[in-house]
Amino acid sequence: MAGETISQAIFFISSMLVALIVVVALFTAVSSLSESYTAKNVHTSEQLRTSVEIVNDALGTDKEYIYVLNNGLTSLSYTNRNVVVFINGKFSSELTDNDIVNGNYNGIWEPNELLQIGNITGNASYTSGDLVQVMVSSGVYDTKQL
Amino acid sequence: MGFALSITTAILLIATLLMIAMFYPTLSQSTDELTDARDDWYELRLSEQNTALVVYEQNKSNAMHSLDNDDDYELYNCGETAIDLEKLIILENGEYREYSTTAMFPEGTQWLYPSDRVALVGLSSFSTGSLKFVCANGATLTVEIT
Repeated sequence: MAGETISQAIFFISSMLVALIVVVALFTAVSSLSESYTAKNVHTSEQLRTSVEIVNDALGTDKEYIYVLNNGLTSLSYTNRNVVVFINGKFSSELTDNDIVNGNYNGIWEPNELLQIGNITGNASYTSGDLVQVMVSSGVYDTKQL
Repeated sequence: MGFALSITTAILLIATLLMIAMFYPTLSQSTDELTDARDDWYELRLSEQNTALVVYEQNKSNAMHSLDNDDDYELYNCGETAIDLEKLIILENGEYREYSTTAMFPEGTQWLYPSDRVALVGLSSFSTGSLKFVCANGATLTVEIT
């Protein structure tokens, strides 16, 4: 009788422990899943609301600047660490002179503002026919053959 | 054994309900945010698609791509969105040209509504070459001045 009670108690405690372990494992997994899902959605939402467009005139010849319009809904940072330029598929380390030409000069690249990207040497940044790609920090980019 | 099994099941059930109560609002909010962002994206693309500009000779309805800066022209909004002329960007021969709305358009004009036209009064100040109008949503029009 006493043996049966003890075995039942052991069985009961074991069941509780197993249930608790399962609950903790499930909670951790669901919590992690939820965090990943939320983070992914935040990133995707940011990408959907971000849009940039290279507006250089294809009719222009060798020019000093690349013009990029923020035609999305988010404000962006326009430092050369946040805006990356590729010319014909190669990262351009010379194009680091970034400036907003039609904004309120508050240090932020706001929607409807035009970013002028030039190089510090003052030489032409591209020639006609070059493939230019400008990418912002959220991964949104625009490519244009000039 | 029956009691232990019931308690274990109850624990698992309560934990599942608790997890749903904890994570569902966050996941639902995140999904709503993504849906809103997707709607914004469609709105942006639609606005760009529905924006169109064309240059007409004054009092005529023939689209011009090559302009003589001595003649009189009008900018015609043949799209479905109103255009804020104060935010219109002008690139002259591929380079940004800072101008005031009054220098390019008649004084007091800010909005160009669909099917409206506005005189390009400041055209004579531009040299020969290409002239590109860039709207805030990224829609563009390029003409040549001869």
